Parts: sequence; structure tokens; C-alpha cells
Amino acid sequence: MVSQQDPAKGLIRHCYKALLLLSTAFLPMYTSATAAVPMSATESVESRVEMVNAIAQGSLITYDAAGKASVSLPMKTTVNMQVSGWVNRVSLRHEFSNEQLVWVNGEYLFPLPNEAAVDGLRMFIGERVIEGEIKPKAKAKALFNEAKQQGKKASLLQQKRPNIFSADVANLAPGETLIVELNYQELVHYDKGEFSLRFPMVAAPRYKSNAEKSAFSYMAAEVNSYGLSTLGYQQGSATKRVNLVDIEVTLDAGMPIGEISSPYHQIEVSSNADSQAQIQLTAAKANSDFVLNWRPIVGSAPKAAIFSQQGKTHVSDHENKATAAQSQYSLVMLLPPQDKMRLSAIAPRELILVIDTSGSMSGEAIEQAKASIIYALSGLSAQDSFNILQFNSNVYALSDTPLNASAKNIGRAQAYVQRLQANGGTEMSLALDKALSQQDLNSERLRQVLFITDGAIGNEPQLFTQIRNQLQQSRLFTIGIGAAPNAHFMQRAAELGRGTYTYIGKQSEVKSKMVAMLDKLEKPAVTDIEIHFADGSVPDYWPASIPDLYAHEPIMVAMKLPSFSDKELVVSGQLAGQFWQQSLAVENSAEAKGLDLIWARKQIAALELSKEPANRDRIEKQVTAISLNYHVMSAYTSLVAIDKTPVRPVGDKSVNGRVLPHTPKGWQRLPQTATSSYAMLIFGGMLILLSLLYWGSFSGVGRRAKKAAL
Amino acid sequence: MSALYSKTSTDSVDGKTARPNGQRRFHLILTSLLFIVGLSFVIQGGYMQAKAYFAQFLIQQAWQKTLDDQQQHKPWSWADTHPVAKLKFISAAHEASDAADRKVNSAKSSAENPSLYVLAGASGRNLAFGPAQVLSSTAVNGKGNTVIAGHRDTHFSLLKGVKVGQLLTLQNSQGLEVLYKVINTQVVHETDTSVMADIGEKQLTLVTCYPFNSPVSGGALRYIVTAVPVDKVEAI
Repeated sequence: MVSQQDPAKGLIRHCYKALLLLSTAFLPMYTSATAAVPMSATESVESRVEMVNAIAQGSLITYDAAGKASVSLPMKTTVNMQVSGWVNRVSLRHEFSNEQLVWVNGEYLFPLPNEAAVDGLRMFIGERVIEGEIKPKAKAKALFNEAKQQGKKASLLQQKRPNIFSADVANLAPGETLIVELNYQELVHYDKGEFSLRFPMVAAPRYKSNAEKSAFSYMAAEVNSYGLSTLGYQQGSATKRVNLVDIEVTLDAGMPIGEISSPYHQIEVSSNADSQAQIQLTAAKANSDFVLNWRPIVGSAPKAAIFSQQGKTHVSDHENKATAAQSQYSLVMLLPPQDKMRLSAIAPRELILVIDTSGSMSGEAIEQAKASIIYALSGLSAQDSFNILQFNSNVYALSDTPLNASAKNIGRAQAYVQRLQANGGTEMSLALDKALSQQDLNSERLRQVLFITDGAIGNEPQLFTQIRNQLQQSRLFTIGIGAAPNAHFMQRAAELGRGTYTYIGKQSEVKSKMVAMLDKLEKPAVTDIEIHFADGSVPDYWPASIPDLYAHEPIMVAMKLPSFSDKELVVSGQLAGQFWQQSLAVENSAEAKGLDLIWARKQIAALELSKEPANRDRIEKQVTAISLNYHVMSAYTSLVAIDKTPVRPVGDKSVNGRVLPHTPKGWQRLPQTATSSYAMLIFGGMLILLSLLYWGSFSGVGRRAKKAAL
Repeated sequence: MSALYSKTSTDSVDGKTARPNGQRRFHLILTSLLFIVGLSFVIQGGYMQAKAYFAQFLIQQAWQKTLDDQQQHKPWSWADTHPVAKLKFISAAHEASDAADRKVNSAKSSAENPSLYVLAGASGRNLAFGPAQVLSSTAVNGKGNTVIAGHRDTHFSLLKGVKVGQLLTLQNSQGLEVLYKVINTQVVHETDTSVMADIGEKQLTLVTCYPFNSPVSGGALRYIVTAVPVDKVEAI
């Protein structure tokens, strides 16, 4: 019997061993394969970023009839800035050339500063200049499409997001160069004694020999997903060209300038007067945003000031320029009192930290929230008090009454925060109620509520009403956490709560964002600011609810004054617990240009923020009306420039260009949309198989060993 | 190779005869350890798939209740979300078929037109149960850009087959259905949120991870499907 079974057993054993060997060989192969996947993914991401960078500042990508794509970078970007005092007037010129042998229509995207009031579009065709007109979005698009059909040269400027714009051009002739110029107005920034302005121009193409290949292969894959089968690039022309930007700034600071610098670029400065300078940047590589800083000479910091302008910048046909009742547009700069005694008198604070521990916060979000709270706790000084609330389906507090910020209590709070876990529903209303209802109105303390959440709620309007009704002396600061928080809700809640909104997208951002925010929280100067005329009437000003004034950081308020209004303004507020007021004479105001545009832009921004599903249509109508009236672009209006005469011969066809999206600056991320379930199933299956094989081979050996023993 | 093989096997036999019991126990422990680890991986992976599959039934019941009384209903009592929409993919065959076939198609429609129930809030936890609407995007079928994200290895695995021209319907909690047509598919980096931008026109954007066949999560690329209401397709 034994001798009969022997060859069969030997065969089985041999099979087992072969399989075992195979599977052990396969396992490292498999693991290395799975490890290779994320590697190749990051690689393609890098090349992707490279490619996106390459097209950042207004590149034009066109496709010809055969689906062949070509990248046509702007030959030249010219930026001209006129800074006078607080106002910066910018004209931005893109020169594009069509190197194709066919007529081309193209679209390009480009970034602009967040608060830019875009009011002008010009198209230069040879010697002729065509002015753009502002129209409601749908109408502008229809006009543009009509012109495109008829073979007329046309250009359309649209706002995609507050800081991303798109421009379309139609009927660009073979070999022709088209210049599109746009104008915008913005305020310069002032912080800690330094003025600054920023012009966004994300990185230029940095085509290196090895990076180039991956960039193009990735792009080819992407274009294939558009459904194009054949593809060829004019690599030669794209690689040789570098995207260069010329920037010229005429600076009239209005006060003697001490020092001018640009952190990322080499600039040429020529000064012709104490308060004036000419700054030039020639053929700069657009590899980082252009930032210009200037500092007035010591002792001449800006004082509370008022600027004004008579009438509007853009006067429409039916309005007469000589109309008697012209409105006056003013810009009031609110600056905290500069004397050191008062600034150092910091009022004690009561910090209420509210953390969302609902199920939607589970994972990375709750860890970021915890880290943020730990940072906030570390910023407390001995005179402050604090409390921590957590909410999911219910609200739980660290303590019933606010705790003193002693080392022992902070240690206790840190331990409490570390133990928090995300689970359950999101009853935000209860949390707000608890955070805002325990106010001691007689307390001198500044009450600051830090609300950390992803905003996963459905009853926004009720919550807004609740904040409005219960806020009293508190300030509400919202911190958005996670990949896709409800930014609109948190921005609006912070505005109603007279605080700020901060977005933290990654664990690595927690520190820098929290430090910037806490720095502000620790030194508030003037609160409850109001502006009215000496007779008590209130002017039409934006932002409508003025935020608190922090040290070194002035607030600019734009207002529209009717011609018959009182000429004295009173600014009042609370300074370290005491009433404070200051009067400003409108007559003493300095002359400035384009203030109506800034007033309109601020009003549009405020209206956009108050948009809710219920009032959406009304807000859209209001914004459109302001936009048309002041010739300022908004989300619902576009600028369109159309040449009157058709230039493209009837028989010739034009092809459409398209653009790859521009990369935004880490404002939000798209949600994470995959699990590793496949990897787990495959890997687990492999392990089970392996263990079975191993068992098989081992039991085979065992039996043989037993047999040998017999 | 085979010579080396036979040599090692003889060695092990010699070892075995010397201490059969210790060797046996070692093999047993190693084998069962491998088996348990493997099984736990399979269970975890299978649990993810099963959770994704069966949660849709519970969500479907909650959605029915929502349609009946227009209130928000949680699919299970401890959930932190509620269904906000029903997304249906209409098969290409259905679209192409003529009137005669339509009857047959409608009978089979539930099998041919896969439906998904969309949850509120695209957090990691919600996405394990179903595709979810990004909170900051416009309400379902509202005037704006509605963004829905889903896992590429479960619910949104069917986006792999979506082509330009594919029809989708999206039903909101009032029971109102809007027919959308896919106008574009593209791959973007996860930081490219321009696809979530609201341009003030009704639009549906579906987001999932890319590439589809990657077994592990954590990639930085997203596959984006853009659809507009059918009556607007001509205008664009």
C-alpha cells in the first residue's frame, strides 16, 4: 500500500513546493507593484503641477481641426500700475499671437487680486481700439457668440470666481497678434507700518529636459480623456519660449518714502521726489507673485484720513456730467490710536473654544481641530479665562463656569481635548446657545468664541438668526476644517459674529494659520465701531458692519455721501473698555480717483456674502444693477468688446481653443474619494492562499517525517 | 534550481527527525498567523464593499420617507447625515432605442439604470455609505453648481464608463427630477477646485478618484464629470 501511494504523494508534494515557491516569489512582486502605484501617482502629480504652472498666467491653448493641440503662450504680459496714496490703478495687457494657419477662437483663464474692481476691457487691433461694454452675463455671451458666428473680432471677459477671470477671443487671423487690455482698481494693503501690493502671476514654464517628457506625457493622457484620439504638440516652440512679464509701477505714496523692496524680484527703482518713485521690472520670469513693499520714513505713519471723489468714474450716456446733485464717494481710513500707553492696555479675555465632534469630523478633521485648540490654549495669558465646549448630538462642557488660565487648568483642558472622539449628529444650534447664552454683561473681559467645525449642517438661516440675536458682547471666530467645509456658512457666521473666518485644510497648515489668527485675537484695539454724521444720520457705507480694529491694521470703509449731506463724520467705538470717538471733516479730504469703483466692489462683496437660497434672485438683481451702474464686473455681468466689421472671410472656418484649468492657491481641496478595499481584498486573499499552501506543504513534510519515523 | 531545491528539502527532513514537535508547532503558529492576518484583510476590504452596498438599501428607505413627507430622515439612528438626492444613470441603450423597444426597456430599467442615493456632506465617513454632496456647493437642482463626490471603488466605479452625451437624472427631496447630459470628462489635481466653482448656471459635477484601477487610496488626481440640464445643452 505504501509503495503504491508513494509516487502520487511525491507528485503532490512537488506541486505544493512549486506553488509555494511561486507564491513566495509573487508576494514581493505584488507588494512592490502596489507600492509602485502611489509612487507613479506622485510623479504624475508633480508633472501635472509643472504643466499647470506652465499655463498659469494667461496662456492660450488651441486645437486645430484635426484635434491637434498647440500651446501658445503670451508673447508678452505688460502690467502698468499707478499707485496714488491708497489706491492702485492697474492696466494688464496680454499680447497673443496666432501661429496657426487657420482662424482661431480661444479662451484663457488668469488670476487677479481678490478685491480687484475690474472696470475696463480694451481690444487693440492694429491702430484701432475697441472699448468693452458691461452687460448682463447671458446677454454678453449671446452678443459674443453672435459676433463669433459672423466672423467679427470680439473679446469677452467673465468672472469665474472673485479672483479668477476668463477672457475669450474670437476670430484671430493666421499670423495675427491681438492685444487685450483690462483695467482694475484696488486698495493697497497696510500692516505694521508697511504698505504692500501684490500681483498674482503663478509660475512660468520651467521646462527641463527630463521634466519635459513627463509633463507632456501626462498632458497627453489628460487630453485623451477629453476624447481626442490623435495628438501632436509643437514642442519646439513651446519649450523655447519663456513667459516674461514687464511690470511698471508709478508710485506716489503721498508721504516721504523711506524704503522700497520686492521680496521675490529684482526691481529697478528711480526716485524723482521724496514721495514719488518709478519702479521697473523688465522681462521677469513669472515664477512667483509680484509683491512690492514700501515703508514711509520714520515718524510719518498714516494718520486717520479721508479721501474723496466727486461723481462717478464711468458716466453713462443718459447721465449728464454737469448734474447738480452729484454724489461724493469717500474712503475713510480707520486707524487705532497710536499712543503706546493705550495700546499696551490689553483687556483680559474670555476665550470659549467650541469643537464639533460630530461623525462628519471623524478622521483627519478631528485631529486638525484638536491641534488648533491646543494652539489656542497656549496663547492664553494668566489674566484670561477660558472654557471648552464640544458638541455632536448634545453639548458637553469642560466646566460649568469659565476657568482661570492657570497652568493646572490648561493641563486639564489639554487632556480633555486629547480624549475627544468624533461621533453622532451635528446639533450646532445647541452649541451656539451654550456658547453665547452664558455671557456676563458686566464683565470687562473681551468675550471671544472660537468655533471649529466643518459646517455640516442644514439649517443655515436659523443659525444666522440665532447668531444675530444672541451675540451681544461676544465675537465669533469660525475655523473651517477638513477637505470641503461649508465655507459660505462659516464666512457669513463670522461676519455676523464680527469676527473672522479661517480655513485650515491640512495638518501642516494648523500652526501658521492659528498663529496668524491668535496674534490678532490677543491684541484687539477698538471694538463696536460705528460711523455717523455729526447730526446723527448714517451714511451709506460698506462693509455694513465694521469689524473690530486691531493694532497696526487699519480698516478702509468706502462710503457714498449725497451732495447735501452733513460735512462732519463721527467715528466711535470702545477702546479697552472705554468709549472713544473721533471726528473727521469731509472738506479736509484728499483727492483720489476711482473711489466709486471701490465702493461698488465692496457693496457687491457684501451682497454676495448675504446670499441665501431664499433671497438669491433679489441679490442677483441688486448686484447686476450696481455692476451695470458703476461699470464694475461681478459674477452676473461680463465685459464684451466687439469689432463692428466682419474680418473673417465667409468661406473660412475657425476652430475653437480651450484651456486647461488654472491652479487655485490651496484654498480648498477636492474630497478624498477612494478606499483601499481592493488592495485589502487582494492582499488578504494572497495571504490566505499563502498560508494554505504553506500548511499543505508542511503537513506533507510532516506526514513524510512520520512515515520516515515508522 | 532543482538541485538546490532537493538539497534544502533533505536538510529540512533531517531537522524534522531531530525535533519534530518543535518544528511542527512553529509551522502551525506561522501558518495560522498568516491565515488570520490574511482573513482580517479580506474581512476589512469586504466590509468596506458590503457597507457601501447594503447602506444604500437603508438610505433608500430614508429617501422614500423624505419624498413622502419632505422632511429630513436619517438612514440609521446614529447617522450624522441624511439623503438629499437620487442620482440615476440612464443607459445608452435606453436613449438610442426607438418607441417599440421602450416598453421592454422600461421593464428592465431598474436593472439597466443604476440609481444611487446621495448623502449630505462629503466627509470620509459619509462617502463610505454612498456618494455625497459637497456642502459648500449649490443645493440639489438649484441654480448653480451641485458637486457630488463618490468612491471610485464602490458607488462611483460606474463613472469609468460614463462618456460625453450620457444622460443622468437627479431627483431632489421635493421629488422634482432634472435630466442632465454629460458635456465633459476630465482629470484634475485635487487642489484644482475650479471645477467646484459656481458660475451661476445650473450644473452637476461628479467627482471621484483617478485612476480607477489603482488598488490603494490616497492618490492626488480626481476624475471630474460635468453635466448640464438637457434643455441647455444646445446653448453651450
